[in-house]
Amino acid sequence: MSEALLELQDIRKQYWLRQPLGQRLRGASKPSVAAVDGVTLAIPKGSVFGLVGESGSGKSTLAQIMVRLIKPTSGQLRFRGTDVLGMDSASSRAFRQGVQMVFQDTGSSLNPRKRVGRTVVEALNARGATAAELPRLLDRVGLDVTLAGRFPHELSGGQRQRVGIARALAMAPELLVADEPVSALDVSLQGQIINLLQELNDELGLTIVLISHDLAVVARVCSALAVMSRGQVVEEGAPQQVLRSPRHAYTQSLLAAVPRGLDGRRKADRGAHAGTVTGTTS
Amino acid sequence: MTPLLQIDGLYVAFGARDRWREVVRGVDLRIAPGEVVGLVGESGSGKSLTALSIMRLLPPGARVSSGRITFAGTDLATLSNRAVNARRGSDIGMIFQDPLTALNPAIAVGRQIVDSLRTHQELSRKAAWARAIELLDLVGIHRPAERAHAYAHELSGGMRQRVMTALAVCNDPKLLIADEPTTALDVTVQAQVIAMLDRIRRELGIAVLFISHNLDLVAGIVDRVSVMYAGRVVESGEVEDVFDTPRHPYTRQLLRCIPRLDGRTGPMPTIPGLPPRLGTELSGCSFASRCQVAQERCRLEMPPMRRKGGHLSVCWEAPT
Repeated sequence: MSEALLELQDIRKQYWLRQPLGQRLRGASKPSVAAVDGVTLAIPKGSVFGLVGESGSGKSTLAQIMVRLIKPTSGQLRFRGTDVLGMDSASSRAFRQGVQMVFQDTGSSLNPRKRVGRTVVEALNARGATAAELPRLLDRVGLDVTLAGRFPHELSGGQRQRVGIARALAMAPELLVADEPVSALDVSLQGQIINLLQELNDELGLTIVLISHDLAVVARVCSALAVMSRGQVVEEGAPQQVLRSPRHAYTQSLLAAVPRGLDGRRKADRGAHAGTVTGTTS
Repeated sequence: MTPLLQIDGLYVAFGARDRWREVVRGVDLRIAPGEVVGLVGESGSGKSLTALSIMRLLPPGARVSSGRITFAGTDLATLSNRAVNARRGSDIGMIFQDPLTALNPAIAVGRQIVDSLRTHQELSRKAAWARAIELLDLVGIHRPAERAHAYAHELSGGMRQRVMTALAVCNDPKLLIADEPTTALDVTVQAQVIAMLDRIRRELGIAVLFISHNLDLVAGIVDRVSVMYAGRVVESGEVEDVFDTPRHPYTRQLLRCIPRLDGRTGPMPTIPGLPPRLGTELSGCSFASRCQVAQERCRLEMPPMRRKGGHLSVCWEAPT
C-alpha cells in the first residue's frame, strides 16, 4: 500500500459522565464512556477511505479528531509522518489548511446571513488567495457562477453541499474529511455529490475520508473501508472483500439489514416465513 | 371491493390571499381494507402533504384547494372539526418520522397510550393501563410493565417508534398512516421496526399507507405503490409491476440511482438537474427537463394517464 497521509494510532476519546454526589463523596471512580476506544488507522495518500458505522459508533467523533476539532484523550495523530497533536501554532495552521472538512447538515454549516460566494471567498482569503479564483472553484464543484450571490436558503440541498465542498477546496487541502455528505440529500442527487468527490480524488489527487452509515454508497466509491462499532474499528479491508465475506458479526448484521427491494421480498417468500429479521443492536 | 380510503383529484396549495401555489396537483389514491399501499417520492414531491390532508393536519398556510377524500364512505371535508378529531387516533392512526417530537416529553409513554384509549373508548383507568401494557408487548417492547413508566427521552429511537406504533394502533384503526417511520433510524434498527410493523398489520388486519423516499424499503412490504414527482402521481400499480417493469422514466431513473450492494464501482448513476421549484407552473410534464427520453411535446403538453391493467403511468412515452 502507498504511504499513509494520515495515521491514527490507538486514538481514544473519553467523555466523563456526571456522577451523583454521594458516589463522588465515597470516592468511587468516575464513570466514563469511550466514544472512540483505541482506533488505529492509516489513510493512504490518494485514496478514498470509507468509514462506516451506525449512530453512536464513534465515527463522527473520529472525524472531528482527524481534523483536530476535538482533542483525543490519548493516542497519536500523524499527518505526513509528523505528529500533529503537539504542534506549535504555526505548524497547526499549515495542518488546518491541509485538512478540511465537509459537513452533513449544510443548513447549519453555512452562514445563513452571508451570500455563498462570500463564504467561499473568505476561505480563499484565509489561504492568501483572492476572489479571482472564485469562478474557477465554483465551476470545479459544478455550481453556476451566478449562484454566488445567493443566500444558502435560496439554494437546494445539493447546491448547498457543493458550496460546502467549494469552501473546503478553497484551502487547497490534501485531505478532505466528509462526514455524511449525502445523507440529507435525495437519492437522485446523492450520486451527483458522490461522483463529484470521486472526480476530485481522480483529478486533483485529493485524499478523501468518506464517512457514512450507508454501506452501499461507501462500497461503491472507496478503495479502503473500515467498519466501526462501539468506538472500535471491527473490520477493515478492501470494500469488495469486506462485503463478500464479512468476518465480524456486526458487519454481517449491517449487511443483512440493508433493504433489498423486491429481491429481499422474493427471498423471504421462498424462505416461507423463516422468522423475522433480528439484529444485534437495539 | 369498496375502497377504505379514496382520494380523488387532491390539490393542496400554499399561500395567502390571492397568491396560492399548488404543491399537490391532482393526486388519486385508493386503499382497500387491509391493503398496504406505498407512497414514494423525494422531498418536496408532496407525499407527506397528501398524508396530512387525510388527517386534516395540514400546516398553517396550506389548504386543500380541491379534490375529495372519502374514508369508509364519508367525505372527510364535510365533517366538523369535532368529528374529525374523533377519527384521529381511532379510525385512522398515524406514525410520524420523528417520534421524539411526536411523543409528549413530559408524560410517561404508558400514560399517553392510556389517555388515547380513554379518549376514544369507555375504559376504566385500570383496564386501560392493562391494555397499554399489552400493546407495548405487542410492538415488541421487553418488560412492558416497567417501560410503560419511561419517558420518551429514556428510550432509544427504535423503542420510541415502537411506542408510536402502539399508540397509533391502540384504538383498532382501520387505516394506519406511516410517514417515513424509519428514516431517522439506523439500518439494523430500521429492519427490526419494519418487521414489527409488518407483523402488527397482519395480526390486526390494518390497512397501511406507507410513505417513504426509500424505494427498496417500500418494495419489501407494500402491495401497491404510487410514485410521486413534483406534486403528481406519475406511476402507480402492483409493486412487482412497478419495480420489474417501471413505465415512467422518472421511476426507471430513480430505481437506477439507488445505491445497492451489487459490487459495482465507478461513478454512481444520477438524475441530472433539479426538481422544479415548489409551486412552479409548468405547461408540460414536470419531469421533462430531467428526462432522458423527453420530446418536444413533453415540454408543451401535460401527458395523459395511460393504463395497462392496474399499472398507470403519466407519460407520453409509456406504451399502452
